[in-house]
Amino acid sequence: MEDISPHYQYDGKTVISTSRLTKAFGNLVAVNDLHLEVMRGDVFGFLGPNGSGKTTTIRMLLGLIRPTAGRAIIFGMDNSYQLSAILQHIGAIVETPVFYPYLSGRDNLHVVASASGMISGGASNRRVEEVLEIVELRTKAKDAFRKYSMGMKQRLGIGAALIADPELVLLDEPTNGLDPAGQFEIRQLIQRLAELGKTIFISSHFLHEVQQVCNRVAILQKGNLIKQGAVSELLQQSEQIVIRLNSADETQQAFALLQRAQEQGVDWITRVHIEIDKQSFPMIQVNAPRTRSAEINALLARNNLFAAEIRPQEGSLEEVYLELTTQVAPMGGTRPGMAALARGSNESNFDL
Amino acid sequence: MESAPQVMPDPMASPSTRASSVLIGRQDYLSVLLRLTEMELYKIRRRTMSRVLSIISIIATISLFGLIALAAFLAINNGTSPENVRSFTEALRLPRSLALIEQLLLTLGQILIIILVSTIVGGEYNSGTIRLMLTRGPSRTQFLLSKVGAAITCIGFGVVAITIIGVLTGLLLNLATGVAPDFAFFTVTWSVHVLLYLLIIILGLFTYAMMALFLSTLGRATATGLAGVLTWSFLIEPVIEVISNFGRNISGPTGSFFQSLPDYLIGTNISALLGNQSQYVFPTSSVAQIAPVSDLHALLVLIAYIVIFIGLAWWITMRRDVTN
Repeated sequence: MEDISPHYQYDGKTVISTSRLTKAFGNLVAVNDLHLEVMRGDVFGFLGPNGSGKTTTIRMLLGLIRPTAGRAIIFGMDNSYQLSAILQHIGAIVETPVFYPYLSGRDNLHVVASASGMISGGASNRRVEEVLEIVELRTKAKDAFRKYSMGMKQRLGIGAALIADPELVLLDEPTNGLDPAGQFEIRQLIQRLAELGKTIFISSHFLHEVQQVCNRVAILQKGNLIKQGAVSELLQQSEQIVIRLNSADETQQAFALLQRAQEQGVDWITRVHIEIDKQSFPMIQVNAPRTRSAEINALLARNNLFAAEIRPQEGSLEEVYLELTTQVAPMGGTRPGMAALARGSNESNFDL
Repeated sequence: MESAPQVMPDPMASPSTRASSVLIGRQDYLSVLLRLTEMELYKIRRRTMSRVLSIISIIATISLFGLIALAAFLAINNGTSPENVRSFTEALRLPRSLALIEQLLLTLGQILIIILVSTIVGGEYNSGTIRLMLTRGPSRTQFLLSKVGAAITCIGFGVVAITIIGVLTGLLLNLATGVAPDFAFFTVTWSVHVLLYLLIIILGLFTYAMMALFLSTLGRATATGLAGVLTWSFLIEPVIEVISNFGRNISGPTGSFFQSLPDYLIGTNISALLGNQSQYVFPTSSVAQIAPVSDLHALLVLIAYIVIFIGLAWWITMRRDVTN
């Protein structure tokens, strides 16, 4: 069992490390026994359906909520004892950004700058203007916050998170309320921050966005961590090879052949199934690394089956996420239809 | 032999990688607290509500003295004798004008301060900015103490400002009455007692402000602080006075207990402190009164209230999960 004590030896690489982090609200366990690890320089995606405990976890990391059990070590410091020192190096948005409605955007950033420990004056004024430029709110800086649209509020929230140029940036749904152009700009900003050596922790529902910017992810389901790892590894596990043959008979023969191969111990084939494409033609989808395409082609050829098309299909985080979250259903059962619905195709136990 | 655990260099001690425009100030406890208090005052200055409260208090002060001056003017026109006019217009001149200012501060001023403090505390929960402030670095204790600091600053500034405005307004309006002010009372000793008098008013207002701070923190809303303190001041304290009077008809310890209740009310003790000073501030005036409790008793009671209210507010703030 990992020894976490107030005299934790900081290795300089692990920015966030949680050990058995748990939060219960009465009988409801919102976060259960969470072991998270975020390394320096990571753009870390924190995924999970609504109510999975993402925001509760972020609140515990920031000291807004006291954990029921376990601890969080950030920059080598236990946040139960050294929260103030930790928070000086963090910029965060938690849920919907909130500010003082009667203050302008600029004034709100001045308040946040002061609360973050910055000396008021020329340098602080310059920094506020820099941040307003970064989040493209300069023209609206004089308007009262209560007049801001959802997207403007979100930008100001990101600005507040960046005002003290922190080492760790925690963003809870940073692109909520932003139009596609705004979402693109935030992704660009996140990538720029990562290039500057910041560690970014993002909680998001937009899986394609997380896939584009994050290098590591953790997936929560009902308060439990069900997967944590590099995005590249997760995508590799969901890679597929799509095979189209010339007739339904050949499709059936190839399907049976590949299933037999899987049953006989070819361990790089994790699943074989048939799907109907938009032209109502059957295709075989093999869950296997794309580098195995040649071997599959050779196997088919040995059995006088010649594919009209073999192409690799890149895995998506959405597929991984849906597969994982539908495998762990609330009452312990499975909902196999969910992933198929999400893929937007008809899947069946195809019987030719 | 066990080797000492390898201690990695502390990366947090490495040179800051922040942008050059980010200048972090001193991080000792007092500097952070002062910075937070300055931030609170910055927010208060920018609220429309603060300006409205200030304007109300200034208008009320000027209007009160204006009404007295108007009544005096009408009396003069009706042929009232100069002695009566002099007596009637005493409230426009020092030292008597201070009694009028005291009444104004402890009634209207109390309400305005309660509104201000309830808003600056409860408003953080109403709007959700509590989570913005508690994730910036300062501790929850510093966050709460900055509210206390802002409250005492506003109270001190308000009392001094209204006193100056009231005294000057009174003296200016007094010119119209034709009664020459007499400054024979104006000595160093008198000035010291006036300063004490004002400090007592500040202490009294601060006690009610801390009640508002506690109740707004407890209820997580402006309305809780406001309603709670007003209910205490204008309902509970008078009811306890009535109970005390009722106690005079009961013999024995029960009667004594009921009769002693007012000695532990905020209003009674503020009045006691002011009353004990009034013999020095108003040496020849009928305003001077002998208080039923000693200065020490009154001070201890008020300090106890302040400590309890701030202590409870602190305890709640420290233990509370911020989920809104």
